Amino acid sequence: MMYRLPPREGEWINREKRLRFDFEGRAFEGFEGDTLTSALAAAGVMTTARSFKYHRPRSLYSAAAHDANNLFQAGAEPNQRGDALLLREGMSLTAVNTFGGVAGDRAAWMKWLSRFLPVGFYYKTGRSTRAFPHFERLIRRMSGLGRIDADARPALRERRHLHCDVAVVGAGLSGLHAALAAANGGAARVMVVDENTRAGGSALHGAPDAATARAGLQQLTAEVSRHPAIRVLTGCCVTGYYSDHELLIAEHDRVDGGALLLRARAVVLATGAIEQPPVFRNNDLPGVMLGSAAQRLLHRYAIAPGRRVVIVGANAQAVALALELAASSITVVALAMLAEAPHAADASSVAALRDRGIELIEGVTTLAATARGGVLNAVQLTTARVGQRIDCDALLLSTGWSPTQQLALQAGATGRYDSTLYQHLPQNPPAGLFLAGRVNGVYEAAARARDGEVAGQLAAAFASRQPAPAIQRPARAEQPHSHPLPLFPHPRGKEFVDLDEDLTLADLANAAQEGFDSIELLKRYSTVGMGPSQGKLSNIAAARQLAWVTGRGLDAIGLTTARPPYQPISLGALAGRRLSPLRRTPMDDWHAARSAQWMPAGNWRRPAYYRREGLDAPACIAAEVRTVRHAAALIDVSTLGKIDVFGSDAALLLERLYTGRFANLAIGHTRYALMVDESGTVLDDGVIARLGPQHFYVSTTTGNSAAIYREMQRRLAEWRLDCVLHNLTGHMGAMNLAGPRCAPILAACSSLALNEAAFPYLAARLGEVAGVAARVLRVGFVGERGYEIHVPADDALKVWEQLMSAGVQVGIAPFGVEAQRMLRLEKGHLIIGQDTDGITNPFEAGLGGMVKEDKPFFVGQRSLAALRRRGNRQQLVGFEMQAADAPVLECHLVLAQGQIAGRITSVTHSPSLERKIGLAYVAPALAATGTVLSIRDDDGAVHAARVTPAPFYDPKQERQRSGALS
Amino acid sequence: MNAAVNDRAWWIRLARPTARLGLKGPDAPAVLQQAGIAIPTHANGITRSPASALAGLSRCLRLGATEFLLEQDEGVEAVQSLRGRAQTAGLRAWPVIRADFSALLGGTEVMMRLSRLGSFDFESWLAAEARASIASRASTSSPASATACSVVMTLLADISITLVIESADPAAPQLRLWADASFATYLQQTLQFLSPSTPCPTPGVHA
Repeated sequence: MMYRLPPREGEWINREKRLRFDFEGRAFEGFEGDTLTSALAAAGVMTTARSFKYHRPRSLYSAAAHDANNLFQAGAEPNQRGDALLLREGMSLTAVNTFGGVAGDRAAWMKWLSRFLPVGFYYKTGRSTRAFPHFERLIRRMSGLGRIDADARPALRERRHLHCDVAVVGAGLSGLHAALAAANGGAARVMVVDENTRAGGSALHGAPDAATARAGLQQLTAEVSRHPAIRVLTGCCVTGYYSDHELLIAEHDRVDGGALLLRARAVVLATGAIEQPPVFRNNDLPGVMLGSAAQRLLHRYAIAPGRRVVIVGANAQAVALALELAASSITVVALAMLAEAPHAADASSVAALRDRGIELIEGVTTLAATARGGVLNAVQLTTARVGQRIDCDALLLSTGWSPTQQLALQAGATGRYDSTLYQHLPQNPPAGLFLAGRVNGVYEAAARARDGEVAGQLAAAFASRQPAPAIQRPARAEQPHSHPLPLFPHPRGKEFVDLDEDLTLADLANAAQEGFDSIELLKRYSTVGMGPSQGKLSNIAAARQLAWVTGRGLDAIGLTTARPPYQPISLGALAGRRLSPLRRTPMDDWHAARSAQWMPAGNWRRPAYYRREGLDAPACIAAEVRTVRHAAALIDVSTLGKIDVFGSDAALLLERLYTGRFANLAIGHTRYALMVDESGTVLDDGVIARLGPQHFYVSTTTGNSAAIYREMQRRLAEWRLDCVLHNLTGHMGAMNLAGPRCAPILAACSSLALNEAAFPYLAARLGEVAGVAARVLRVGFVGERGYEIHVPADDALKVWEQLMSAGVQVGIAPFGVEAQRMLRLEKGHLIIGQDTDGITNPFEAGLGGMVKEDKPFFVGQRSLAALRRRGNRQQLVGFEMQAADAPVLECHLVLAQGQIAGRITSVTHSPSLERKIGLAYVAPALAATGTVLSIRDDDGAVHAARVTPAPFYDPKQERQRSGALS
Repeated sequence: MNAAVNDRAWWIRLARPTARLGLKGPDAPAVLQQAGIAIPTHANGITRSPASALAGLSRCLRLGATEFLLEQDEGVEAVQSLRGRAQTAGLRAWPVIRADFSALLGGTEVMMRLSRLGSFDFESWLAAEARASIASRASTSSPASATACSVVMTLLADISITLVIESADPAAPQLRLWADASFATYLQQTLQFLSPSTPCPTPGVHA
C-alpha cells in the first residue's frame, strides 16, 4: 500500500495547506501541490478506477498521464486526468465507467465474458443486421467514459494566442539549456512550455544519473526564470503541432483550463521519453506501476509506492531506482533483471544492492503477477534455474523507453526503429524544428545539457533567418536503455498490451492471424492505441507483438500515424469564448423598444414582427400585412447587401457577373439582377441602380452580401477591369416605405418629386430625406407602391423616426420579416435560398426571362445554354390549397402515383386573399395551371392543392404603380 | 451603448470623429496630395501629424494602394473640401460613405487581452512601433515620414477590424480601432467581457 513519507527536500507539496476532498463519497485530505492521483495514493487508495471493457480494478500506473487509468468525474466535468489535475479544496470525485462505484462495480462480471469478446467483436457482431441493433444498444449502454451533464453551465475557457521566436517544449535539462542558449543567441522571445507544474523534468527524479542532472538544476532554473527574454509556462501541455510551427497548448492542471495557440518561428522539442512497461499476466493490477511513476511519487509528493517493493528491470535506471528507494527507507525486496536485458548490474551495484538487503535476480524469463482482493500480492518469475514467488504490494517496472516523439511526428518527422538502441527515434524533422535530449536519443545528463544548448543555438539562428552555426552535436547513446522484447505471454492470458482498451497479447496475435497484419490495420481492427492515452504505453508493445507474430522486424512494422491531440483536451478549451458575431441595424434599439420579436437573418437580427397587446403572433403579422395593403408601413432592410461599383468598366463588370443587361440601364433607373455560378445555379439576386455614368449601386440578399462582395473582388482582380468596389452594407441603413398611402409620407419628408413622370416605378433618385442625403429606389417587392430609402448608417435612425412621425396620420406601422414574406408570396416573388436551392437554375425557378443569353459573356452562360436545351426537370409553380386549414408546411412533399414529384418551398395563409397559397417545385408534367397536386403532411395525410398562376395578388401588377400622391 | 470599461490595465472609450470620408480610386493619392496631405507612402500606413501635413484632417489612413480613410475630429470643412475635390469630373477618385464604429483601447494589459480574441501578434507590433517611434523622434526627416505608423487589418473576435497604435509607450499603450458599425454592440460587449470585473458571458448572450 502506498503511503506518505516524512518531508523530503524538493517535494512539490505544501504541507502547511491541507485540502479536503472526497472520492466516491469518502472524505480525504491532501496537500496543496498534490495531483488527484498523488492525493489518493498518499491516502492509500489502491483501486481508483475500472477498466474500459472488463471493469478490472485499476490504479496509478505512470503518474504522468501517460495511461488513462485515473480518469475522474469532477462535478459536471467528465474524464479529468488525475495525474495532471491539481487537487483543489472541496473537490468531489468519482471514478468513471463504473456501475455503482469503483469498489462494488456491478459490471465486474464482464471479466467472465472475455472469451466471448474477441478482438474485433464490434465487427463480428455487426455481421447480423438483425442482431446488431441489439448489440449496439448494449455496447452503447456499457461503454463510454464519464457523464455529460447537459444542464451544467459551461465554464468560460479562455483561448489565447501567443507568439515567440523560439518555443521550447519541455522544461527538463535539455529544454532549459535550449531556452537559455536560444535567448543568449539572440532570440528576443523564448517560450518554454512544460506539462508539469514545475520546471526540471526528469532531472528532478530520473535515475540513474539524477544526481548529476540535479546538480546545478536549481541555478539553471533560476537563470532561465530571470532571463528577460524567456517566459516559462508550466502546467501546460503541448498537444498539437500544426503547420508553420503553431502549437496547441492545453492548460491541463485545472478543471477549467483553456487553450493557448503558440506560433513560433522555431521550435525545440525536448520532450524526453516515455517509460514502456513489459507485458505479462496481470500487469494491470493495482500495485503494478512504472519505475518512473514511483520516482515521481517519491520526489514530488513524498509517497512510497508500497511497503514491500519488487522491481522488474532491464536497464541502469532499474538498479538506480532500487538503491534510491532503499535510501529512502522503503523496503525493496528484490530487483529482477530480465533475460537479454541490455544492462547488467556491475560489481559495485551488486555490492550496494546486497548491502541494502535487495535480492538481485538475473535472467528472468517468465513473469506474472497475482492478486488478492483485486490488488497485487505477489510476483511469480522464473529464471533458467528456478521459479519463485515473491510477496509484494508494489511491482515497479523499469525495462525501457520510447522517445516522446508524437509532436515531432505530427510536425512531419519520421520515426525509425534503431536496432542498436531497441527503440524508435524521430528522424528528418522539418525545417525549424530541433530535437534535444532523450527524445533525440541522448540519455546521459551532460550530453542532454549540451544537446539542448546546440538545439537552442540552431533554433535561434533559424528564427532570425541566420545561417545555421557549425556546431558538433553530442553523440546519441551507444548503449540501449530498453529491453528488445519485454513480452511474456502466459497460457492463461491477461497480459494487457493496452490498458485503455483491455487488449491482450492474444488479442493482437489473433488480429494478425485474421489478416490485420499491418500496424495501421491492426490499430483499426483491435482499437489498440485508440483509447484516451493514445497508445503512449501500448503502441510500442503492439508493434513488438506484431513483429514477433509475423516474423518481421520492427523497422518493417513501423508505427501508426501520430495525430493531434497528443494529450486529451476538452472541447470547451478548443472552443474558447463563445463568439457569435451579431450584426445590428442602425434602428435596432428602436425595434427593441417597440417589442420587436427577433429572428436571425444571416448574421443579423431582424424583427420578425412587432408584438401587439392582446394579439398572438399570427394576428400581429396579419395586422402588419393589412397595414401595408391598405395604408403605409415601414420595414428595416438595412441588412441587404449594398455595394457601390465605380469606374469606366463598372457596367462591363455587372454585365459579366449577372445574367441581365446593365450596359443599357439608364441613369436614374433600376433593374432586377440575377447571378448564377458557372454551372448555371442561382446564386443571388438583387436590384441594381445606375446612379451615374460610371456609378452603379448594387443590392444583394442579406445572407449572401459578404460572399457576393468577395466574388466581385475576385472577378475584378481576374478580369483586370477599371473598376472600384466599395461594400456599403454596414455603412448604409435602408428602409422600405410601402403601401398605397406611402407617397404622401415621403413627400412630407423630402423635396423629391414623386409623381409618375418624375419618379416612375423602378426609378432611382438621389435627394434628401429628412435632411439626409439619400438614395431612393422605387421598387415593389411587397406588391404595393414603395420606396426603398438608403442613407448613411449614422443618420438612418433619424430618417426612420421622421418617416414614422410623418405617417402617423395615415396609420403607419413598422412591419417585420414575417409580414414581408407573406406579402411577397402573395405577389409570387421568390426568395433566393428559400425558393431556390443548390441545384436550381433560372429556368426552373421561372426566371428565364432574366437571362440574356445573347450577351457576349457572363458567368454561367454556357451552362445555361445547355440547361435550356436539356429542358426543365422541375418547375416552380404557385398553388392554392383546396382546404384552407390543411396543415401543410414548407418542405412537405408533392406526390404523384405514390412517388415524390416535388416539394413545397413557401406556403402561408394569405391575409389579403383569405386562402392558403404557396410555391412548390413539381415535375414539369404537373406544372400546368389547374393541375391538382397531392401534398403529404407530417402525419402522412394527403391534401389537395391546385396549381395557380402567380402572382396570386394583383396579377396585373397595378398596385406598385398606383397609390395616392397626397 | 456604453463602452466605459476603465482601469489602468484595460480601458475602452468610444471615438467619434466629427467627419469621416473614404476615398477610393486610382487618382485618390493625387487628390489628397494636391490638397496638401502627406499621404503614407505605402498601404497600411497612417499619417496623423503634424497638422500642416494633414490640411485640417486629424488622420489619413492608407488602407490600400488606392484606398484611404480620412477623419476629422473637430469641424467638417476639411472633409467636405476633399469630397468636393474628388467629385471633380474626370477624376478617377470616388468619395465613399464610411460609418465605422471606432474606439480607443488602452491600458497596460491591452495587448495581452486582445490576444484572447485575435491571433495577430499584438505584442511584437507594439514593440516594433515603440522602436519606430524612438527612431522617428531621433530622425530629422520630413514631417510626414516622422509620423508614419503601421495600420493593421486583422480579425478580432471573428470580425474584421482596423487598428493603429496611438501610443506605443509600454507603460500606457493606446490603440484606435475601427470596425463595421453593425458590429458595434457585439464588439463593445465582447471587449467589455475581457474586463476582470465583468462577469463571464452567458451562452448566447449576443444572440
